[in-house]
Amino acid sequence: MDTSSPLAQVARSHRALVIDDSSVERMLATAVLQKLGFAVTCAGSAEEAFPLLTHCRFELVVCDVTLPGMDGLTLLAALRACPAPPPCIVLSAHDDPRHALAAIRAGAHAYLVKPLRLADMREAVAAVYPAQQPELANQCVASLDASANLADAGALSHSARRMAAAVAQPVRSALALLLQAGIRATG
Amino acid sequence: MRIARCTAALINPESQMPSDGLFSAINAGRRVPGAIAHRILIADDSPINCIVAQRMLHSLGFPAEMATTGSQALERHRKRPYDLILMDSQMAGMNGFEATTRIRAMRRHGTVPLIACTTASSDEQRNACLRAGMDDVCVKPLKPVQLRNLLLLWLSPHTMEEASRRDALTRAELLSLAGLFGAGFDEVVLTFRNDTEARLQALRQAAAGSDFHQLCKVAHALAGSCASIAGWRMAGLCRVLELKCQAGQRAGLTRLLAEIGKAYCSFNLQLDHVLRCQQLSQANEQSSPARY
Repeated sequence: MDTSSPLAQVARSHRALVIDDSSVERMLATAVLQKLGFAVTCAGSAEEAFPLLTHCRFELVVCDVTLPGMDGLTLLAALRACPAPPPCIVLSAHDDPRHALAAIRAGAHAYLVKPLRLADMREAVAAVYPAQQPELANQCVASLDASANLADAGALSHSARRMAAAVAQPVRSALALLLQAGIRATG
Repeated sequence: MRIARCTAALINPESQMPSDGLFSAINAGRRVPGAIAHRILIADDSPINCIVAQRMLHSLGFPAEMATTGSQALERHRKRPYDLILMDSQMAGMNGFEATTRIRAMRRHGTVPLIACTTASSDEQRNACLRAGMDDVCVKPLKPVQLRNLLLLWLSPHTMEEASRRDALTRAELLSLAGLFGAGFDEVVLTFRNDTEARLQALRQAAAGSDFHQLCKVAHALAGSCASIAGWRMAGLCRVLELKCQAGQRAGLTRLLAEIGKAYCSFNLQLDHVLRCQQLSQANEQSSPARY
């Protein structure tokens, strides 16, 4: 276990919940998070995760988007309505800004494209810990929503850049994705 | 960590990779074995996009030429055929769709792998590329890991040596992952095999019943688990199967399923090899004299 790094020291004794219906991907996420010092619990579906989220305290939720039954984004939206929800990192096979934006809108703190790799998770965990400023994240998403609805890549990119200078670290990874969306939209 | 490094060095002395599952990202910047022997054409009307793609291909070791219109791409391929074409779907003049239709209609060299490079990520636009006859889709901006895996999927090795060097790359990446899992890697492999066999059976059943929704779902799940443990060829083929099902492309599905089965057999051999290496290293560590 990578216990020497400052991040591992932060994460040690912290609990993470991994929600993924694929056994191999759950095992990979568990190994990666354990390497970062988390104690990991797993669930194979959103329905299985709910009782765990109700009865146990988790400092991090790592959730797949495509799940049997309730999907990951609906789970995220439900989680967001709870008082003091844990930060959530969304894992997805879709490597495009459209899916990333949907996840950020649903309340994800970071969006990682599968297959999961340690460096990506380390970076995402470092970004979501320890500060969480949901109010700022909400403002940012609202502003980006408006730009995305206008389908104006320039405005989206400008808005994202402007917000990136002002908002908390957790939101920056999301903004990077949105900047990329702006670049793609210009061909 | 030490186990993975030692065993990887036994297989490929150049592979001094970290055992933290980062290997694919790091390795993406390295040259692909045998790349120099493959000719690639980039067809894109944006010079910037062409240059970016060409630089990325050069960094992977591939020689690449450029065409800025569909008709130029067609002419160049007719004169001296390429091994693979990266085709922008929206080009001024003859666009990527029309160029694809014309290349596919060629009596010779019409089966060249055509990869759509598109800024559009909507399902409908992606489906349009496949229906036009393109083999696969990659979304711009290109990323080295994505591009490398795509090229390894669509460019068959020219020689036995090239094939065996590609196998060595897979083994090195698997060893990197084995280092992450430690002693638990054999359980991961067992789970992967059980899941994969059940999913392959589900794919065959769905194909027999022409259940495209189920084919799509199972292919998506299988692609995800394969990519998680570096089964890139299987993951790529499953992704193509998923895309084809989404686009309603029935042609070639049986061949694709057979390819996935073959890729699984080959990947299984690699997994066996890595498990043996890991067991050997663990046995050596246990039998080495204690340090005082």
